[in-house]
Amino acid sequence: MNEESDEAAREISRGDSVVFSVMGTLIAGPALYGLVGFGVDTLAGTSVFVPIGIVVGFALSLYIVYVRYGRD
Amino acid sequence: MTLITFAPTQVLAGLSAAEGNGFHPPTLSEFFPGQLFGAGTWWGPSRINLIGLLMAGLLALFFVSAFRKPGVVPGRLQMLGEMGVTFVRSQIIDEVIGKQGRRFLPYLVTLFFMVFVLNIAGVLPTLNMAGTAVIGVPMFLAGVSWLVFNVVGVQTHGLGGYLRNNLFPPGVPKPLYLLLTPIEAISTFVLRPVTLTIRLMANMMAGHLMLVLFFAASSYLLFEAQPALKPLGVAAVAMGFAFTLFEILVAGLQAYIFTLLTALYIGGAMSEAH
Repeated sequence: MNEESDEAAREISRGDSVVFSVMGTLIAGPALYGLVGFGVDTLAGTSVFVPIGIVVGFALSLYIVYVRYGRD
Repeated sequence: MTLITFAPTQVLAGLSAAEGNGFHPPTLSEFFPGQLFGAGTWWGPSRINLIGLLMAGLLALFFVSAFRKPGVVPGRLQMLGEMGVTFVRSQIIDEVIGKQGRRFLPYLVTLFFMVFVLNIAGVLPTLNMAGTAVIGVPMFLAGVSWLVFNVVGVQTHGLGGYLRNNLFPPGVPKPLYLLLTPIEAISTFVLRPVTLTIRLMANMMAGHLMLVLFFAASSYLLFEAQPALKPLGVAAVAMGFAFTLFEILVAGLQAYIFTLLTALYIGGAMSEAH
């Protein structure tokens, strides 16, 4: 019985780890592709690619979160 | 009772900072005091370095004395030491990694108490500066944690297996990997130590700035401003007290969070059952 409650507690804490991984992914995606967009902007002289990069990065991050944690 | 000795020290520090002509709020130069000796050399310690060394020395002294001659019936120091170790073992390791995480007990106990003791130096009288408020110590501790969880992951799954688990989420059409893998790489290998570092440093830096602000304000309002502002000075001292209590809570909490996250990353690297 002790083992079961241990397992249950660990499931909940693995939920914690999910939260931090999701948070890390959701930050990394827009940051990385916003940076890529910034590079493109600097090379091309435009100013539209930074927001496009952020949105694309965010969409990709959401996809990663869905693939890793949404489908069970 | 001890809190009553904190405030006068802070107020006196605020007094000397104010120097009687106008209010001097704290600036970032708080965190860059000059080297106390060996100025200009790479090893010349500043006040903050010496505080870190002092607290680390006290911590080592405590644990060595507590466990020097362990008895079956523990003495008081040993009981305190055991409480500390048991806290990390049962609340952090067993909860998060499970029994196979016990081999990380020495590292996680050291990590927890190191961060806690350095943090608490921010509210100790005459020290008044957390050893973790400058980026060096949090960066080093986060770097060590990063090394530990990566080495554990590679040991458990092999280099290829570990990288594949982390960088390539399963069930994704192949061309998308080109876009997704950089995100995964950054979020796992770059963001984790960076957030560990910044979370700890920013909390301690902000807490220190707030404490200096409250006590500098209270000394200015009580001693140098117009008499009509004196009640505000009293309010500032009261806020300083309350914030000192809050900083003690934050010191413990940040130590717990740092250690918990390290344990989570280690456990995640070991299991990886995605």
